Amino acid sequence: MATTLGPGSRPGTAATPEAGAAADQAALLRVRGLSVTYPSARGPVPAVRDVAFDVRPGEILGLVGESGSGKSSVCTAVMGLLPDGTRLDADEIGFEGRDLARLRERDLRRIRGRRIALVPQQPMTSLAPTTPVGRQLRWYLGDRLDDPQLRGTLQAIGLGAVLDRPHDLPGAFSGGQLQRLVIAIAALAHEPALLLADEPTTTLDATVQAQVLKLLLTLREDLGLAVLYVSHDLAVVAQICDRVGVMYGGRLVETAPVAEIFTNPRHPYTRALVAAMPSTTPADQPLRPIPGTAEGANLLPGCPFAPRCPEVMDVCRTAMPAPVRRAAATVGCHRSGGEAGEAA
Amino acid sequence: MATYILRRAIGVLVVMFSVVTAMFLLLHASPVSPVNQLAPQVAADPVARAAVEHKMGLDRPLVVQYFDYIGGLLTGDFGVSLYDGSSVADQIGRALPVSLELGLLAALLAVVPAVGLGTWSALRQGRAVDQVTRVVTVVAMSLPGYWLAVVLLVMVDNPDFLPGAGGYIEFSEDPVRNLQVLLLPALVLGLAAFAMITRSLRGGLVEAYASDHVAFARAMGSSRTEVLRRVALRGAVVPTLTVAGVLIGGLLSGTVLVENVFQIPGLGQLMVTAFQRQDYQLALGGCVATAAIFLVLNLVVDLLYLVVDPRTRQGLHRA
Ligand SMILES: Nc1ncnc2c1ncn2[C@@H]1O[C@H](COP(=O)(O)OP(=O)(O)OP(=O)(O)O)[C@@H](O)[C@H]1O
Ligand SMILES: [Mg+2]
Repeated sequence: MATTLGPGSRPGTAATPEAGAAADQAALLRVRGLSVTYPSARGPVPAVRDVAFDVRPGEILGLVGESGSGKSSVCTAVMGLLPDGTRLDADEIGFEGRDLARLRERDLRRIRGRRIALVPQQPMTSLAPTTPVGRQLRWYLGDRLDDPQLRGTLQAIGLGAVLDRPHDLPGAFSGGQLQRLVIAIAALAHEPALLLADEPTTTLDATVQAQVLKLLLTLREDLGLAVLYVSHDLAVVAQICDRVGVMYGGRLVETAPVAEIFTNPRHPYTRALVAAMPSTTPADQPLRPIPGTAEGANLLPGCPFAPRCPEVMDVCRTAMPAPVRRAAATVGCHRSGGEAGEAA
Repeated sequence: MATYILRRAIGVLVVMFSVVTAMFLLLHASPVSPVNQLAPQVAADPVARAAVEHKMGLDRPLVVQYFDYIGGLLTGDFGVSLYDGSSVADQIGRALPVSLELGLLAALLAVVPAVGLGTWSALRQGRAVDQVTRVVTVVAMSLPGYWLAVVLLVMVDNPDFLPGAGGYIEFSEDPVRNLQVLLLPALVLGLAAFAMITRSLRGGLVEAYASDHVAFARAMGSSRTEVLRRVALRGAVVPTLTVAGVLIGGLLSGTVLVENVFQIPGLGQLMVTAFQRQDYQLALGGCVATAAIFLVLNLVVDLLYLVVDPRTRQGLHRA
């Protein structure tokens, strides 16, 4: 592709949206042109469409979007764990010098859990229900379970109960304990460089959620791991993320530092999302939910948000705007790109 | 847990007792009588008839006969055949091992390939193996056993594999010939069970593979086979255990049709003869033996649950 793209080149032709950022800091995970298409009885379902983003070493990148926008599919695709029959297209899923999109299953397995770990969406059911927790810890942590330092860490994050009752089944512990246990297994078993956390706190109540977020931040500090934090809750993202990617209808419509997302959202969908947050709305004013639904957005040829967008133009319905860089943000919108539609 | 096992064992005895009582009453309430089988001049002559009934003890009050029978059972005495006066216990003792061997062979021929094929098609979900397995199992389930038995009898023109009339040979006498003779009936008997266990195991495994804990294990770098061994199999085995328990119970307790077509002198054959001769003692003995097999197997399956799924064990502690 374009070889000499720098910060000064014409924004409308920026095919590699983070080319500028790549110059200042090498990405740990570099995703380009990622598409995921599930088979279904009613034809293929495009769940992720031409998504590109970077995760830098040690950073927490948030990935937000409504249910069905394709967040989990991005994680599963990066892990190489899409179900049989699913189509994965990617120009690149670069990680530590290798392209995960082109690795064989055998080599992917050596990366899974070791270099990239996944914290799944459901903490309560992510451990085998019929095997005692002690035995499962042993599966994943091996002899390290006897390491006093590791046991100390587990104690420190409130998992003393699990260590004290190794013969109990997962069902005997609370959702918060199980979620912390799953995060601990994912982060501590092999101390990976990247953790994909798929809505790790959605099913937990607010107090437990705060504990889990603190745990993630602690682990980031101690182990220097980078995190892709998936959530549909902008408030949570605001607390822990360095940068945020916003997904809609399978597309990544905007990526920006967390402060920019809130102070200067560029994509109309991001703006609507921020406006719909309880914390940004003064108490005496009603919340502003986004009119319409996201249903079918992943099938639209143009911008997926066009049907609900207050600033929609004709071109939005027919052509997907190319992502352009605006300061530290990357945004895919005909309003921001100006002539992007014609230039592309 | 010991109390649980004890409770279950007592339960088995209670059910056993109810089965015996119900069968006893049913047979005695019916108009059948072994006397009907005697020569017409005896059966038609009221005096001769009464004499025979008296000799057989059938003229005593029902309660007396009942307690007599139960008392006998408790000491292992099943009474004597009303047809020829031979010991019922002896007849069952001869027929039971034959049925058990046939059933065990059928169970083996069903379970071993079912486990292999069920696992394989779950691992290759949606691929060729899976498709072929689906067709094979549907066909196997829909083939009527007696039809298949007759077709095999006609098609297999090799006397080595057919007992012929009364040609059954015991294992202790000639193991090779014994197995040869039992092979075809065991195949027919086990076919439907094979298909059902295959499907149950495949379904359970596919479901287990789709579960969150398998996804997590895979995300932690476990291979498919490792996941199968550690996580998925356990989940899939529980429902399959129930299916297999019931099916194998059916196989072991002798199957009337297959034993009849292939001339195997097992429990099924014995019961048919007993009913044809209106020989209640023998029929009752056969029922007791069949019920016992079912109940014991049920108990075994229940105990296996405790081993496979520790949640049941914890449930017991709480209860
Ligand atoms: N295995 C699958 N087979 C078919 N379609 C699927 C499959 N998994 C996901 N999808 C579809 O792909 C789209 C994206 O799903 P995905 O789970 O990635 O969304 P998400 O953003 O994680 O949503 P949520 O917030 O509900 O977790 C949805 O429309 C969903 O119905
Ligand atoms: Mg999801």
